[in-house]
Amino acid sequence: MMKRFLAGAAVAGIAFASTAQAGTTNGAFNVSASLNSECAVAAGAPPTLDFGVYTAFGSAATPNPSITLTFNCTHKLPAPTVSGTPFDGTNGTTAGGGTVVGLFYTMAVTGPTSALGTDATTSAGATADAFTYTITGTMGAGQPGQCTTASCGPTTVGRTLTISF
Amino acid sequence: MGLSLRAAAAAAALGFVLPAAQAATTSNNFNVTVTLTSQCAATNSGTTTVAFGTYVAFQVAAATGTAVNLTFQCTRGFSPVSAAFDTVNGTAAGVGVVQGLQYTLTAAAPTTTAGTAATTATIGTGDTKTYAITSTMPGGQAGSCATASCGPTTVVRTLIVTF
Amino acid sequence: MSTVAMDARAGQVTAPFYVKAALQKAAPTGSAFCRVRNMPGAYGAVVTVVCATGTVVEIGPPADQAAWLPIHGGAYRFLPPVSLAGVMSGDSDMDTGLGTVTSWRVFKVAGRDFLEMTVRW
Repeated sequence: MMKRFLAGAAVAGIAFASTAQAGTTNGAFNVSASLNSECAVAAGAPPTLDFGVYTAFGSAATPNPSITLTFNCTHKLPAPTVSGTPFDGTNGTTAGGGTVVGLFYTMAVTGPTSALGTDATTSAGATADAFTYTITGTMGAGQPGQCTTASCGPTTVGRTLTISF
Repeated sequence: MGLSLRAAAAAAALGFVLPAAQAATTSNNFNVTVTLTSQCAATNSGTTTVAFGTYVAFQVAAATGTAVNLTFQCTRGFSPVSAAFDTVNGTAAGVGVVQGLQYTLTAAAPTTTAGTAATTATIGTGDTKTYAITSTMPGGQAGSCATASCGPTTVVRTLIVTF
Repeated sequence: MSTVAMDARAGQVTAPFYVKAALQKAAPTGSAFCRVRNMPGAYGAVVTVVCATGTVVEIGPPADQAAWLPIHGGAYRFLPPVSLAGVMSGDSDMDTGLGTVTSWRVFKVAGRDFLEMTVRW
């Protein structure tokens, strides 16, 4: 008779220990944007090209007044330009002629002078570049003007300047 | 933190069988030990984009980037302690610049999707920690661009999770 | 692959401003004529013009007894004494004042000075 040996083994115990090891893990992602460049009129009330009081057949108190108009543009955008006919055609000619209280005047635009903004950093956006144009008016002497009373005005006419960027 | 588990097992007896053939069992106990180091690992790194689309310089309204979820798989029951953004392309608080335009990122507190415990037949799965990333780009910005339009421009950011 | 940045203008922007003036009529004389006190080129003279056209009809002395500007072209009047022969008898006792001479000049020809006067009525 054979001896039969049956043997079995059994697990006496399972030990498990856990530790937390300090560390970091990184999750990368992208940030994307496109930009359409623009120029915008700087904040502030529209200025006034003021010829003062004009005595009929005489001259204006200020025959050659001037004003400045500033535009803020996307940083690094090339300086804007003005055409030969940059003024509105609604209250005068696009070349800069017009009348106020029957007195004829012309305008010329010069510039721009520029004040460049700052480059962006990793935490601050770029600042705008500023471009300033000067408009000088001329009102010739000896004009009769148009007025049914002893004096008229001051009269204000709205005009606009258009730049291209 | 550590979790210890003891299991008791039944033992079988090992005996000498007489030729007269009497079946029996015997046991020999032993221990199984393991040390687990809890970890978290990113699972979708480099695959998502916070997209702000096209920003028109000086636009009045703020722009909002697409929301993205950053997911990390962690040891079951284990949670990170903090998260912050990289300081290579921005600030740890989430401020950054793309195309000369400043933006701010926000990472919400993570949500947890529990994994499955291991069985004698299958391995377990980790808990999924999800960070929802939202963003905003203020209006009124000039941006930086030498032509009529620029981009899309992409900047790489990183959420650094500490555990 | 290379890319070229084209300077295609992005657009235009318009800025508003105002033009302002006030008109003060020349002082009326009670007729169709007006007086102008600051006419350019009048050197301070008070000029009378046709109100409708601005045509100068008279030049008067500065207002408020102001002195003439010492510039060639003022409306002076000269009354040099002449002899019965019609020859200017010298520069003594020459009556000078304000008159209706509208233009005059002194010019030199061959070393001689000539006074040219233009008179209007």
